[in-house]
Amino acid sequence: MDQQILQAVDIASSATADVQLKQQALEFITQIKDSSDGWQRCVNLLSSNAQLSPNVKFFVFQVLDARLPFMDNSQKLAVKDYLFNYLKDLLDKNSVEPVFLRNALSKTFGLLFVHATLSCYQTLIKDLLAPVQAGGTFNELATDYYLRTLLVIHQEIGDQMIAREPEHHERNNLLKDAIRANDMTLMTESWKNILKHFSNTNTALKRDILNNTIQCIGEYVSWIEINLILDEEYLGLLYQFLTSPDDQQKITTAGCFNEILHKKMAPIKKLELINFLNLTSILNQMDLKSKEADFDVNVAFSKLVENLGSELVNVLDTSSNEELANTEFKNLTINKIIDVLPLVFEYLDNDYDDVALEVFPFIGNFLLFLKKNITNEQVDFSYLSSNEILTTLLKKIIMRKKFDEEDDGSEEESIEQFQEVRSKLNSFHDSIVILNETLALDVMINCINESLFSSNSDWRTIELGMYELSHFSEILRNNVMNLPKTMINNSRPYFVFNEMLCKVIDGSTTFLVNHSLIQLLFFELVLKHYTFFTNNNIQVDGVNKDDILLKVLKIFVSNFGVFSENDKVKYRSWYLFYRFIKLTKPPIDDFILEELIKSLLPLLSFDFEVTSQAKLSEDIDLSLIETDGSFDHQLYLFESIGLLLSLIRKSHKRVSMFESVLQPLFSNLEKCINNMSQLNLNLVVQVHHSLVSVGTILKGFESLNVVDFDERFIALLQQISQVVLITLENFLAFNIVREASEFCVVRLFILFIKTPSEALEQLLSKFISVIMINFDKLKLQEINNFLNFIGQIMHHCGRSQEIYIMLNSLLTPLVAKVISRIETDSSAAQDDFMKRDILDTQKCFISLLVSMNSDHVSSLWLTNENKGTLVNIINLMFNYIYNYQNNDLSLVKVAITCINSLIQGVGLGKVVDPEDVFKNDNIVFEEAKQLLVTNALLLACEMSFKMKRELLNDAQYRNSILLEVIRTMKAVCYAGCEVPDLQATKKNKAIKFNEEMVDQLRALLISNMGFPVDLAQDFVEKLVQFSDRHFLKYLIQLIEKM
Amino acid sequence: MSAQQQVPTFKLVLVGDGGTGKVSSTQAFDVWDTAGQEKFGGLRDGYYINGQCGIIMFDVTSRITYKNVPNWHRDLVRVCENIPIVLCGNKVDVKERKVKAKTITFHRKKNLQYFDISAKSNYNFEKPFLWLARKLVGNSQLEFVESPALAPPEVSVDADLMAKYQAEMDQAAAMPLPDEDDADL
Repeated sequence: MDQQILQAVDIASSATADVQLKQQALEFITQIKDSSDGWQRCVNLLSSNAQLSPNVKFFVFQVLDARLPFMDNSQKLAVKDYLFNYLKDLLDKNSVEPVFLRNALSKTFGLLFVHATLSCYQTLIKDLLAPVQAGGTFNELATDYYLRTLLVIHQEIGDQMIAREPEHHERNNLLKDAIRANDMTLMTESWKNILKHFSNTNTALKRDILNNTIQCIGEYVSWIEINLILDEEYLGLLYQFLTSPDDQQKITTAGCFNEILHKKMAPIKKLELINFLNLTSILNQMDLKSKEADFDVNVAFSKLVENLGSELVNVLDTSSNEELANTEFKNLTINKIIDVLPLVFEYLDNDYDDVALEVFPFIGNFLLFLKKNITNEQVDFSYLSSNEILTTLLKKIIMRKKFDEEDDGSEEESIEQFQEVRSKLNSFHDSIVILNETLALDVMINCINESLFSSNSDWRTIELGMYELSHFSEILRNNVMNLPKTMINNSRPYFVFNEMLCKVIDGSTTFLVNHSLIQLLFFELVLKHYTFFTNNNIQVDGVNKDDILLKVLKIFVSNFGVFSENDKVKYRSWYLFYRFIKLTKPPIDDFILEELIKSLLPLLSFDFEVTSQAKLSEDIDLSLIETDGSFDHQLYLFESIGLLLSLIRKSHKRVSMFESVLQPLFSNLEKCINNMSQLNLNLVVQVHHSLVSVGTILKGFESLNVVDFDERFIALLQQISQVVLITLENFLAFNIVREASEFCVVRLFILFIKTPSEALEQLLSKFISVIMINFDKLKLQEINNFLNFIGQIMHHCGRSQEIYIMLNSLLTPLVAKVISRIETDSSAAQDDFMKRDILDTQKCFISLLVSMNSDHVSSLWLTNENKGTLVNIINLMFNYIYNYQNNDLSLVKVAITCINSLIQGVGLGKVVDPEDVFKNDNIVFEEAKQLLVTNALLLACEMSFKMKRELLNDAQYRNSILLEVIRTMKAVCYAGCEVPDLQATKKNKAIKFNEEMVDQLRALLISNMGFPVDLAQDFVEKLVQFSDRHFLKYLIQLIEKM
Repeated sequence: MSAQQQVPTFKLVLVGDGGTGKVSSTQAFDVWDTAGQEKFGGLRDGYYINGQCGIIMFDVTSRITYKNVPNWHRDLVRVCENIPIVLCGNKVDVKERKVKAKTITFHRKKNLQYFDISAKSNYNFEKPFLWLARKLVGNSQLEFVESPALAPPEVSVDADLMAKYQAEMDQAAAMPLPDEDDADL
């Protein structure tokens, strides 16, 4: 005996064998499989009568499977003989091997069929069938092998899901033809006999036989003559198994019917088939009792009902109008669908979502079909969308959205899963609204009324009511009814909704007590409909909107909302309350505002104790530090308080209330500064949180009227400024304190610019000088923020002389520091993250420079302080651009934009912008022409005509770089003139441009680029006349031609 | 659980095309890895023998790996009949998803459980194992005692992207299964 093979297989199958040994075994195994005579050694093993382990037997079949495609006819016939001898031996001994071995032998038989039928051996199926019914009785084992082999054959040649090599398609078709010609009738006959014989059996093997037979029928039906299995006797047997007490048989038979239903055929034929199968009445007779049935059986039957219904809908959907003109055909199909509906409802009502989900595709198909035919005037399908059907369906759909009795609605995962089911149901619901709006709204409104406003409801019912009210709101928002836009607010659905909203708010205290999910739905809904409180056109009879608003606010600041013991409700309602206040700016009395603020104060924690163990460093990552309380959520309360404060009408009350809110934060900061000697992480985090809290309250004041900026208020803002700056100076070393201070300074800035005063200038000059002195400490992100802030200052205060002077003295040192920092960091940059950060800073920096032109402060460049810096900047930008092969193209682009804006700002050697209030016409920038304009034109030529041609295929280069180059050339040509809007300009309107500059460009094209004179002329003419994009097309064509 | 009681162990068979991420999705578990030898011979489906549950993995960024799922399923059930099987679409963290949710229907035909996963970002990574464990012990309330020691995610999944996929899955689940085109009918 071939001991080597036995050993090798054992070692290779072992999980524990030595790695090297295993490697040897695997190599040997591969050799056996690949060699031309390995299979012979294996077959010898099989017929040696020796006791072989299951793994070895399995291996033998594997080797045969692997070699069969390469064997000649005589070898195949030899294999055939071996296999049949081996099978005979098994049958004689009645030896029932483990399933995987029975499948393995069947697979080898199946592959033999695939590889031998068309060449040397046509009777495999008949030969396997022969021992099945030898001597007038059935041989179980032979039957089992016969069926398993048939299943393999289908999988190898007929199963459409299996991915195959294209070259096998033709062979498989020939094999299928061979079966159709030689075996089909015998096979179907044999299945029937097997079903009859084994119908009342209970051993495992017999059950396998039955299941495999039913499976065979289902698999083969897609490609053999269906009439062979469509006789009364066959159906009688299949019904018998469908109603069998054996669950597995029920499931397999349901699957078989699905395959039969799935067979492709013309609509009329399909209806005949469905009619003949008569499944609806069989299922009805079965008294499914799905509530008591096994889960898997329910899933299988639910799927069968779905399939039956969907096939029927498909019959209507795919029939032609001529076919549908046949009333008998049409009505029969419609009646069949109506007959299926009770079965669909049975499963839609099942306790388990997974069972109900199986019928969803039918509901989707059914409603989609009805929607498609809303406007069909030729064929009437209205029986299917009768009030009765739609009402029942919608009621079931809504009830399905109710929380299950066994779900207490507290576990996140199950809530999430249920919401997914609900969202599918909502889409069905919306379809019914489209089909019959009045009916759908009536059903929904009834449901909401019954769930919310009848007594003794449990939380699941109330939650359903609130959920439906929210869905009602969604239906209105998405205008599912498709009302004309102007009519939505006056439509009946809106009116009814608003009425219910008021009713819900009015009665909320009675049902909010029931469940956190109800509370969450309530607050979300109120927020979503904030316009109800702000829009005076929305009125509800008998409802005083001020009262309702007060009620909402009261509920918000109750135990159901911001004081809830449930963290999820509590924190969510902090956010929702903030949004509600921000959006409604409730017009309520000062004393109520004060009461609201006072009631929120106890929720605020001012003691931000660090709970995790972390050491103090200057570079702190807050995301890694946990603190007591819930700082991030608390910020919503701080901003709400700011908003409420800003709503207080009496100025002195507002300021004193503001002072009292700030008090604990100020004393926090004071304490921290006094404890500087005992510096620790806790202290620094405390400083950060206190500052951010102050800044966030300030955020609430953004919409405060300018008239309310009285002396006391400004004095308080000044006091805040001082506190922030002192804190910053004391804790300058810490990134998080610098960031928090900047946040406050920006908030203060936004308030101060409403009524510019000395206070603003003091704040800015102090803050900027502190930052500039400590510039080296800043992280790149902080530099970006600082640059953006300076941009803001330019934008808002460029016309203030004091600020202009300050900016004038800031520009050169700032530019120097930023450039030096970029250079240092670039040379040290190790990884892509670092490089990306540097790139961000470069872009922020350049965008600040670009904004100087649009913010009308280009004259800053020409002062004595900054002229030299201008030259450096121009050179730096050209440097970035010419290095376009190495630099990120987005950097190259902004650098060109910068050159472009400098040309517009100072390209003529002086500032021409009339809005630049501090420009001095006596100051001239002599180098402008050579350094800026000529260089820009040379650059434009280089980037257009001298770059590598491949770059033209790079969309970013084409659409971003080249377009920007064109804008630069245009900026030159229009220097000193108004840049026309070429998209809007009418053709006949004369375009003014700078002739001197245009001449220069033309000359350059001729002398440097070798353009013929008329081409150069054409080029410049089109440049000044075409829009940017239009010229880009021209330019690309030109480049391609060159 | 008393000290005498043995922790039950099950043989899991994890199959799918090469490169779909089978190895990385199991790094938190004690797994006997065939180290890709199935690619060049070895025992192939011989390894499936006595498997008690299975995972079929494909890569949502590669259509061919999904096309091959039925082949893997066929080979697996020939050796292991009636075992619980989970289908997993891996690499959902990658932005260029090729196998869209609505095309993933195989699990519905064969009654398998399906999960979108991303082994790299740990998204849903424990779901298939937990589902199988629950099936095998017949307890739907089963939880892992402690979450397996996770390697830190290498990438983070985009919550919006996941929400989008989920929405697509919802849509897909409500759609009828597509027909296969039977070439010779």
